[in-house]
Amino acid sequence: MGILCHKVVAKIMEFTSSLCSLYLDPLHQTFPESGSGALALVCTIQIVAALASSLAGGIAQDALASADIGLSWLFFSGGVFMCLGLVWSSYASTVMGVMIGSVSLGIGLGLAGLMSAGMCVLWFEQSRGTMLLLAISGQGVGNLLFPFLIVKLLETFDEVEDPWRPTMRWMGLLSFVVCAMAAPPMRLPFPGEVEENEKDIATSDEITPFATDKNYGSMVKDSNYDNLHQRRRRSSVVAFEKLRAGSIGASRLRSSIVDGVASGLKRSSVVGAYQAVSTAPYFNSSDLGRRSTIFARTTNVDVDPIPEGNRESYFTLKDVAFSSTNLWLSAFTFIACFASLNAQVLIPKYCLSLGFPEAVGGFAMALYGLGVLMANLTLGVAVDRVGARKLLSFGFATMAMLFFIWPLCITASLLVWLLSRSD
Amino acid sequence: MADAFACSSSEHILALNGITNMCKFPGYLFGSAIASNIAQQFGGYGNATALSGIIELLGASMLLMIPTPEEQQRQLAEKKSRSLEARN
Repeated sequence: MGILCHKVVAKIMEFTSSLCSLYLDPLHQTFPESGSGALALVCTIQIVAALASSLAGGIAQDALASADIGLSWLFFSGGVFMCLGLVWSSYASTVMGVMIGSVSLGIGLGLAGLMSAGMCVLWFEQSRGTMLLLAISGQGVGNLLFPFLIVKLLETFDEVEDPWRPTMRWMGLLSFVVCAMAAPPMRLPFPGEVEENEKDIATSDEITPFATDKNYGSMVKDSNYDNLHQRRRRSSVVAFEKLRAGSIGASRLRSSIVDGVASGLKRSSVVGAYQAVSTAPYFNSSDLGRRSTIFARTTNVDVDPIPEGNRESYFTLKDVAFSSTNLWLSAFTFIACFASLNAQVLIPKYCLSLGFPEAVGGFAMALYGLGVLMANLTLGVAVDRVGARKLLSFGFATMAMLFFIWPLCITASLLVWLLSRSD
Repeated sequence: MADAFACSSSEHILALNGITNMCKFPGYLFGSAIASNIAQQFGGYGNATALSGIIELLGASMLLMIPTPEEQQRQLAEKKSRSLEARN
């Protein structure tokens, strides 16, 4: 739950930058010589910088790990960049200065906000969809909270010459404080930790104390175990604690597990350790050639066999980047993003063209955001049951239908009803 | 992405997430501008939104081409073994 809360906070802060459009009108009053295109570029640069920094941060995490720098520092630096960007922009005397600050804000947004979703999915396996959408619901919370806050600040400093300057400074300070609070627990899970969290394995009073004997197998006594699950759970916890305590490295664990198999230990406990520390990448096929029966389905052990060809310890970034999944997902993202913002851009203008007051367009957009929030809070369970791929396909297909339908809406109530269900 | 790679390559999830985020850039940057221009040129919103709907349907069909996580792991393992055999 703690991890989820921090992810929600990170997503809330992601929304501070997407409210850049609230500053456009005050900026135009300060810089009347600048065209609307130049000011809109302030928001666009922010998004580009955020996307680029999320890529750089993801690639850099290996280098950071080798330098013993935790990912929490990456998130903390995101808060620093966001604060620096907003403060820099607040002191800028030209539009170019505001853009430079916007770049820094975008970098911070990518490091602190966009990466948090990628980390969230690694902490959960069985309830991945539910937890990810709950974390993303932070954006909906930001959508409700921060426009109100920014407008209030602009009104508070209305008597100042440029009210957007102190507003940006306060928002920069808030960004830093919130990111600093959310950063400390930001890390990737240890091997076996996901299983420990999701299967609610108690580690307080059931841990077998570590023996000084280095023979891993002699530590596990199962005479009092109730069932297969208890046996595998206990061995998983023991192996996980051993690895986390650093008393045994991954390579030695591999050797000890293979030795354990050779000495005829209970297969369930060794398999439990294998499952706990996800040691599949550390095995060579030749190690398992004579022991492959341990991974076959039996009445006692329910483990899938290691796929053939998994002889080296890992797949490189190049391997997974050029995989079918990533290529199709990137192609989908490239195509779908051309249309994803069109509703927000065209609907307010469409409402004005029908003669509705501006409030109708604003209300329609607010309900659109509320629909996003409600979808994030409720569809996570559906994702876990149906699968992300199928649900995402269904979602985009229905959004496509709505794109064909909403231009036919000629009354405010019908438009608002349709948009509230669009997500 | 997490379903496909969390078990075998969890250390690359963030980088893959970043690559996917970069693919969003052209669409976010030019998509709404193109739609606005189409709406302005044709004097209505039907053409722009119809094109948006077709794009979203195309995207949804691309999602169906993504292999299952098990199939993806099998493809990666096969590719890896082929490269190792070629190296040996």
